[in-house]
Order: sequence, then structure tokens, then C-alpha cells
Amino acid sequence: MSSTGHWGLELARTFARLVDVLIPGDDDFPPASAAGTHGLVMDRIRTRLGREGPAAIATALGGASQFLRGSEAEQIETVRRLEEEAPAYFSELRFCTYFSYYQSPIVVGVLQRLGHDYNDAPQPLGYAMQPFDATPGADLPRVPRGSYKKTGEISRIDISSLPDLASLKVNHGEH
Amino acid sequence: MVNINMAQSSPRQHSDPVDVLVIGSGMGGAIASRVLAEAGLKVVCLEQGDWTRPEHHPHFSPDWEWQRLNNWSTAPNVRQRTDDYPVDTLNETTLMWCGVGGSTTVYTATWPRFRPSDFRKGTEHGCQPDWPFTYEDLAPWYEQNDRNCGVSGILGNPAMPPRGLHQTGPLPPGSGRAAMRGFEKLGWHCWPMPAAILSEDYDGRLACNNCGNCQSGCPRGSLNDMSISHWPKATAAGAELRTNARVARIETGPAERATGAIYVDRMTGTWHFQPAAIVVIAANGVGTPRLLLNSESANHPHGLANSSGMVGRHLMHHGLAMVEAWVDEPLETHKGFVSAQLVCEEFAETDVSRGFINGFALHIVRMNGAGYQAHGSHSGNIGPWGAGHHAWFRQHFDRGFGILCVGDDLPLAENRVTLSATMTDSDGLLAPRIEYELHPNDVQMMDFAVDRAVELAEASEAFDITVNRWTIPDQGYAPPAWHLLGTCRMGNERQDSVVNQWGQCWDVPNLYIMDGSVLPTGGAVNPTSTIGAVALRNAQHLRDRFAEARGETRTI
Repeated sequence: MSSTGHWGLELARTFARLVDVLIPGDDDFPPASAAGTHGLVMDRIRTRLGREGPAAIATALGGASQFLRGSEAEQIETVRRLEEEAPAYFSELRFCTYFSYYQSPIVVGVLQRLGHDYNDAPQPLGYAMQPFDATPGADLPRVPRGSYKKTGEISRIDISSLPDLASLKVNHGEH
Repeated sequence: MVNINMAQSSPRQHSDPVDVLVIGSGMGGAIASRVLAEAGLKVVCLEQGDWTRPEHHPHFSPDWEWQRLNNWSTAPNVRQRTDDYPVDTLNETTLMWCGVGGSTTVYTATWPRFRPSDFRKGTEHGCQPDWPFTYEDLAPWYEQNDRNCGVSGILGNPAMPPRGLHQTGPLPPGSGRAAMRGFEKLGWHCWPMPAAILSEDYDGRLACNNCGNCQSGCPRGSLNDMSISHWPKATAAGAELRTNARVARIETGPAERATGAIYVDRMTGTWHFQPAAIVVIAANGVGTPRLLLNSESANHPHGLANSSGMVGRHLMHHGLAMVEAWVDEPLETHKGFVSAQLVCEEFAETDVSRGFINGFALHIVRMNGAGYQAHGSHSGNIGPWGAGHHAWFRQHFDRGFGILCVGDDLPLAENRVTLSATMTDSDGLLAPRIEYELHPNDVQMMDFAVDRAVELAEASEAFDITVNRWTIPDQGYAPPAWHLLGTCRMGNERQDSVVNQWGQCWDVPNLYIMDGSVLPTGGAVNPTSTIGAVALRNAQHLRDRFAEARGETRTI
């Protein structure tokens, strides 16, 4: 790979910056690039849109060089324009970014530190299952309600007030 | 055209004749194979896909959510595995899985039963047919099928007929507790939803460990996947399961009887003919009509078993909409049984004062993991990008629940499966083409259902509510077509149905259909328990009169 080609360093830097515009950091969460999101995003876009997909998104931004030269405010504005003018590319970028970010072990670690009982994968640990509480008002209604028509109670109803159904009645005989 | 030249002219290896050839290894095919093999009959099942081993599931990998939406998507058009066939459709995301266990590999195992009125819509209003039998007639097979699959739940639901014990106790409602608050306030029915997911060890299978990724299958075997609950027993009884065996067409001979099926071994590319005394198709509500239409011949120019013109028609998916609600308290919505924790059948019966016939159910569902929740869960409430992202995420993550509206859609002749003019599978066989739209009655029903779901969300003290009607601009209703029903309906008369009440084709007396395509109505709930009960009833009937059935030249 050359540093100037479709898979060059400039494109990599562009995507690192792009994912940070979408998901910046705060006191708890890392910016997306610090969680390693951009590499996964480029790979996933390549899988879904084809090898030229990442470069095509960079082109839709006005070119990698120009995007990287912009200030933070200008980069945000460029992404906003992408969302408006190339919604399919933007949706793809956001889809790949969000799923890549939240699978990162760094981000899963943040969720855990914030108190969420959240594993990096569903198995093999799973989660403890709280017992079903059959006390009325807990996991069952306080007063069970509801009814059904028994087979012997089902009789013809008048649907003449529902004109959309007139043509259907011809097609189906009753038992 | 179907790759008929290849199927008919390629050198074929003839297998030894068998008593019963079953096509498809999912819900119906697994039941038929097991019942008939346990009776001592020689059974071969042809399955176009392969086994799914525990380690194949994405549950052990940090990218499990990504896989769920890509290579483990429930839609063959998304995951595009070679086991799959494409579905020619502009506007829907058809669910199915081609492999051992069929679509029970990627379903939610939500296990409600149809209600008595679902069997009597012809009597009730005449816009759908009556079933050839009643809820009470089917009830013993509901019970027996539950024992075979393992069902969790709790008795006492006043909105359904009394029923037998569940095999294990109910799964806890988890995030459904927030919705329970709303139901109580509104005075509406709700009840824990039965699920074919074990809350305790049962029949050699492990209890659920609450992992929250049901729709990528269950590597523990806690969820009823037919490859785990049925196939080991079927093969122990002598059934032979041939995987990677894709059926191209069913052949017929004298007296309009099926003689067997032509299939390709996808591993070797060799073509085979499997002769059989009885052929059972269980390829789902899309695959079965596709196969019958692909089996056209000089004697059956419009497809096999299609003298009525009903093959492929009356497709039902259910009317679907999703309302999602976020509340202040943590609900841990990434854990546990992903589908309905609670079901509300307050509006399940017809009440014409609402402006439509039939009814709908509200299912309280979960939201999967952090990526899925950040990306809008089931309703498109996507977290904002930029500076506000983390604040939004903190406010919403693990505090939401879904209210899935499931409506009983009318079976319209125009909603149908035909053969694609342009698409084929990897063996050159014509793909199915699906056309489906909601009737105005059903549009009105779903509007009413969405209004009720929003009312429930508000009563549950939601601070944020989002509605997804699954519509696409310029394309209309674009459902996630999870349920494939009605395309080879059963009935009492050959002119308006494809099979009789036993699943026996009117036109081809030794050809049976045992899957969701035979259901004449779809109810307002997940259909798999009903598909299984009907298949079990009909497989046992075939077993009990097999000596007579194997030589039959007229449908009973």
C-alpha cells in the first residue's frame, strides 16, 4: 500500500478523524479513534461497499486532504453536509462506526465502570437470571384481565359498515 | 426457467426407494421425520443447508451484534450464504434459514397459541376461511408438541383457553416490568408470553443463561432449535438426514402420484433422484410454493398441486409495527429472552366499532446490545452523532423496551409467491418472487394498534417514544417478514385450497405439505407453535394410515 493510494495513510487519518467527529470523547468515554474504531470501520465499509468504498466516502467529503486540513468546526460542518447530500454514504459510515465503537473492549470497560452488568459477548457467561415473582403486581398483573371467544360462541358479525371488505367476502366460504 | 435442463438431463444417481422422503428439516420436516422414523418407516430428509454447530454462532465473539446484522442476519438476502437462495422482493426483508433446523435456527422461539376465533374467521365474518378443524381439535397436539420442544410459561391467562402445564416455569419479564406498570394503569390484559426457551434444564438440554442474543440461535440449546430438540431423536430412530442436498423438483408418474425428487448434492455437484412412496414438503411458506412451481411439467403446466391456482397465493406475514419507549429506571434490556416477555391480547378479537375486522396483539420486547441500542434499536431512534452522543446514550442505554404490534393480516390472493424472472440460486434454480401489501383493513388496524402502543408507552411514563411503521418512501410497507404463511392453504374443497386438513395435496395424493404454508389464517401472534402442532397432528395421521396412504390414488 502506498501512502497516497486508496489505502494510504491519509485515508487512514481521514477515517480516524471522521469517527471522532461522529463519536468524540468525554469524561468517561474515549473518542472513537482511541478505541480503535477507524480500522474496523474501513474494513467493514470495504466489505459492504466494495474495495473503493472508503475512498468514495472520502471523495464525497471533498477529498481526504481538504477534510484533514479543516478546523474541528469545519470538519463537523463537512460531515453535516455529507449527511444531507450523500445520505447513503453517511448512513453506512454511522452504522459501521456505532457498531464498531460499542464492541471495543475499551468501551465495554467503560460501560462496566459506569455500573452496567454488560459482557463483551453474550456467551459463555450469560447473566444471572432473576427468579420469576408470581406475586400479583410483581411479574403478574395485580388483577388478571382478558377474555376470548370460545369456538361455540363465534357467530356472524355485521361488517356492512366496513366497505373495504366487500370484495373479499366472495372468495372465502365459511365452514 | 428453472434449471430444468440440468435437473432433468444431467446424469443422475438413483438412490434406493424409501417409504417417506421429507424435503426440509425445519419445524415441520423435523417433526415428520421423527414421527415417521419412530414408527419404523424408512425416512430420508433432504436439507439444502448444513448443520450449525455451537461454535458457529456469534455469541462468543465481541462482534456478535455486527454479525447478527450481517453474516448472521435473519434475512438470506443480507447474509448471502451459499446455503441460501435469494428472494426476489423490492420491499421486504424475508426471514428464513436454510440449514438443519430451518428457521428455528434464527427465530425468537416466542410460543403463543392461536385463539379459537382464529380457526373460525369464515364463520365470524367471511373474509378469511374457516379452518377444517377447531382450536379444540388441535389442542392435544399443541400440548404434545410443547412437551417435545420444551416450553416455559405460567398458567392462568384469562385471555386464552385453559391449557396443560408448561415444561418449565416462566422466564422473568425483566424490562417488561416497566410495561406492566402501563398495562395496570390502563386496565388492559397482559400475561407472560410462553416461550420455547427453557428456564430450567429439561430433556437433556440446559436452561437459558439470560445472554440476550436469541435471534442468532442458541449455542447452549436452551432455545428450541429443531436441530437440537428433534433431529438427534429422529436420526436415532433411523431417519437419514442428507445435508447440502438441494431439491430441484418433484417428479410425478402414473395416477398423478409423486415418484420422488431430483436433487443436487451441493458438495459434489452430482445430481440424484430419490424415489419414495410418500413425499412430504416442509420448506416453509416461501420455499414450498417455490418448489411446487419449479416442478411444473406437461401434466402440471402451472406447477405441481396447483389445479386450483392457489399455490403461492394468500401469503401472510402479519401486519407489523414497533413502538419503542424509554423510561427513567434501568431495565437491563440487553439481557434475557429477546422477544416478548409479555403479551397483551386486549385487542385480539374483532370489534367492528374500531373500524376493522380481526385483531392484534402487543408484544413487549427487548433491545439487544449497546451497538444496537445506540443505532436506534428496532425503531430508528438513533443516537445523535457529535457532541451530544454520550449524553443521549447515558439517558437511553438499557432503559428502553419495545412494543411490537402484530396484526392478523387478511390472506389476499394478490399477495403471493411466484417464480422470479431474473434471479436464481447458486445451482441455477429459479428464486421465489414475493409480492405483498397490506389490505386497507389491515392498514387501519395497524394505525389503531400503533395508537394503543403509544398510549401504553405514555402510561408507562416513557420520556421518549419512537414509532416504526416499517414503511419506505415510494415503496410503502416494507415489513421484516418474519412469518411466512398461507401459500398452500388447507381447506375442505379442492377448488379453493391446495391441501386437505391432513396436509395431503388434492391433486397429488401421496404428496403432503407440513409447514406454515398450509395455515389458512395467521392469527395475531408468532405462528411456530401452531405450525408444529399441525405438522405433528398430520404426521401422526399419516403414520397411522401409512399402509393405505402409500398406495393411494385419491385424496381422502
